[in-house]
Amino acid sequence: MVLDDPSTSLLVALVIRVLIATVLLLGISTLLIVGPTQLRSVFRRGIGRQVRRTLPYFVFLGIVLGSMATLRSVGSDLSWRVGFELGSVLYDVEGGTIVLAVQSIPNAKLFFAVVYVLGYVYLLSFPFLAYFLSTDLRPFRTLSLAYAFNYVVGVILYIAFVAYGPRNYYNLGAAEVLYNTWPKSQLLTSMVNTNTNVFPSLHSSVSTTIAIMAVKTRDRYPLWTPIAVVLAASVCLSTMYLAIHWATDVVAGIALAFLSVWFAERYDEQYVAAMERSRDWTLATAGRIRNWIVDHLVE
Amino acid sequence: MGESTDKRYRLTRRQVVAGGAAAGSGLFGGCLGSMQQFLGLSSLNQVSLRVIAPPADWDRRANQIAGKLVERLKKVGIDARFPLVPPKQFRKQVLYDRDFDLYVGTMPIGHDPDYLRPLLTSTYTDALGWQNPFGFADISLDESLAEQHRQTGEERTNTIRRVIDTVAGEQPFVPIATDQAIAAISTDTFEGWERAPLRDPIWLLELEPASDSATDETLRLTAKDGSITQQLNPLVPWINEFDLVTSLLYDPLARYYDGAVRPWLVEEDWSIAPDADEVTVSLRPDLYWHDGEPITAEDIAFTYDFLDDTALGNADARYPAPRFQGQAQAVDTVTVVDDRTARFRVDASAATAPGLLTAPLLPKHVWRSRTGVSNARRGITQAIGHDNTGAVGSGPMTLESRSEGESVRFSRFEEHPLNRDDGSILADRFGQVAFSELVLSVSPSDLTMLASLQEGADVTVPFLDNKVVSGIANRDNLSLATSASRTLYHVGFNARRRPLRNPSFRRAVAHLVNKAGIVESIFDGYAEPRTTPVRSDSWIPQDLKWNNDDPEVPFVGVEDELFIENAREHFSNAGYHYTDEDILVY
Repeated sequence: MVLDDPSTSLLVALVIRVLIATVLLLGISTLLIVGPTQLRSVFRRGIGRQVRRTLPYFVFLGIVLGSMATLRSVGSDLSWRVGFELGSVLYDVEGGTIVLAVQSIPNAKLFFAVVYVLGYVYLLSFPFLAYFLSTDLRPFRTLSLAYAFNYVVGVILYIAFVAYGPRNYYNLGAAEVLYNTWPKSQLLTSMVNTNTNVFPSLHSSVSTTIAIMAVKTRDRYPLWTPIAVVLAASVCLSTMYLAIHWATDVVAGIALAFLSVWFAERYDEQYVAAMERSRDWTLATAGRIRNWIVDHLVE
Repeated sequence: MGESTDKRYRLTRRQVVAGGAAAGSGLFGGCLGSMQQFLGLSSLNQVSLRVIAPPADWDRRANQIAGKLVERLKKVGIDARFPLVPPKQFRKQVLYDRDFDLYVGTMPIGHDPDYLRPLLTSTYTDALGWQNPFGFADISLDESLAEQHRQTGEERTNTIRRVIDTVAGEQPFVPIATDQAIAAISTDTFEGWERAPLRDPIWLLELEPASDSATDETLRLTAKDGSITQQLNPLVPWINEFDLVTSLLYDPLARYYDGAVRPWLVEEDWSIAPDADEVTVSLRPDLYWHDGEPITAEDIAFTYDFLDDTALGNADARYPAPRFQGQAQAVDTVTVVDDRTARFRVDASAATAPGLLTAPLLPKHVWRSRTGVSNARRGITQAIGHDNTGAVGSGPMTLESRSEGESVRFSRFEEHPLNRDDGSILADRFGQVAFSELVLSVSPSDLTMLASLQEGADVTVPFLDNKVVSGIANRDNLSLATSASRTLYHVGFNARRRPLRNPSFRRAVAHLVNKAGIVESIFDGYAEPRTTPVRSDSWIPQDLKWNNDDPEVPFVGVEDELFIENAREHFSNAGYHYTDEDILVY
């Protein structure tokens, strides 16, 4: 990266702003939703213990997301080679009907632009924090596996289908909103994704996954449930309002969300067993290496 | 004039005959079709076409033109599909594989109509790049294109008018409009932004420092197209009117400026034999490549041998460099006379010979090893597939550094004749390049390009969408530069495929395009409608000049409203017929 490059400096400034806003939101939410009582009890039992219990899952998620991101960066070329060109079909079947109806919501440009970028980042990060700060780690596990499932299936579908979203069919009349309202956000989105990764909408699937989990954990975090549901619905709508996705992509995203939660709950036992095996194996290996080093140093 | 009208009548007659034949086969086909249907074997098919175009992110205007066309094709009963493709995929499908029905896109119109020779000659249909991508074949047009290349004066003008007449009649592609080049500028360090057409190779060479002291300034350019950060090969077979590789890094022997092809690397006193079969040129003294090697007449001979066969005879077939095949093919031999002098034996006329010298000069010591054939079937050689990211040229700027997908940095090449003020006509005309460094950085859209003008960038590439013009006018620290361009928006047909093989069908499609409406609503007037693919009006026959509409294939409708019945009639007349549900079948 060239540091005196004008678009890089714009990008860095933008990322810092989004990060600051997210951290502020996360802090406030933790106080209000998780609450001081539970925070105290978690800290009394020891935060280190909590970290040890969740670490394998974070590592697993990191590996999955990392490899999917790598695959996605080469996926675009691959997709043009082997993928099915879905855009012209969506253009024919769906056209502008639903997207234009969503766009007719008045005075919502700024709202949906902020929801799509900032709301989404907040929505997908807060539950990890909240479920991490809870004695029952089952929701945390479900969420991490559902997440991984979303990304893996999503990236496979991105390679299998290549399509542009409605905003790239200018004649549909679905106005470009996000980048016109907030041009610099394109520096961020063009970094994270390519504009042919449209089917399904991962914004919609991940948000819906979080909303489903929020409903399932409403007894523990009653305040989070309505926030998550409303925010997830707004994110789904925003992808269409901003004409980034077709309604078909959103429907496919929501279906993927339900499938991912079902999958994560169905295979929870196997998931726990696999994670414990890998932790034990990693610890054992680390131990052997340590012993070997100690032995050789002693000699 | 009478001659050209005659020609067109002849063409029209031929079309009537062709149409009749097609209609006859249509009737017969229909009969056969229903019999097959009766036997349950097959049925008539709806005419089905895919129109490929860039996404709105890349080129909003081509995208919008295509969208309109697709909707109208549907209205006349055609099953039209609308897949969007990014530039890389467009090049693969159109310029390499010829795997398309119709596309909407851009290509530069040549300074001289001789560029139509590689573009439309039938023997070029199996080649790569912009060499007859349309698969268009017309023997009499081949002959006229070859003739004009050997003619001069009025004789040549007449032949070219005949060519243009045939092209307008046959519509191998539908010329729509050339857009205005638009750039936004945030600096006052340099001036002279509108001295040359903005996309011309000499645009940036015309700049001057605003004050005497400012000759060591950096010019920061921001661009949406990042391909220059990935490859710097002057031989790649796609052509962009604005191309820093062939304008700043590589030099030709002669370059078009001030209305004619003029000596560039060669001295002003070139000699063209009276019958123009021999051109003798001498390199300016003390010329060097960017790596310090001297430029000699050997490099000239090598360049033209190499352009004619990038395998240099080491393969079983000849692999010409697609982008310059038109030039290379017309050069028979190049003889080295002495260190600086070379003699060309050419098949050209005094009018077209100078144009043969406009190919980029290549250093023999760098390119002579790049003779491998990477894909024999598709005609792709190492020469055109090479990234050439360590480009060694002889141009006024030299490559400094590169960061893939992000930026490229060039610095002034002080040995270049422009930069050393040697008293030549060329140096007097241009003077030293006004900036000591040029940095191009990539930004994803027009709006982010404008945002980076606030963060240190000086100027955008001259490809801004006319939609952002009003936004620029509202900012008092930004100014605007505009000029006419040679970038032709057009609809390309693949005449290798049914039904696009049929000229009457292509004309019927052309009638759906409302050129005046496109210029007014899609380009907001920042474009000039085109009836023919030539730059200068002087080549265009009187009856083909723009006259509030295209006189040859006028839009069937009023304002932007299509008269569907009349439009369908054009397709019926082309030999296709409509079912009871108004579906066009064959």
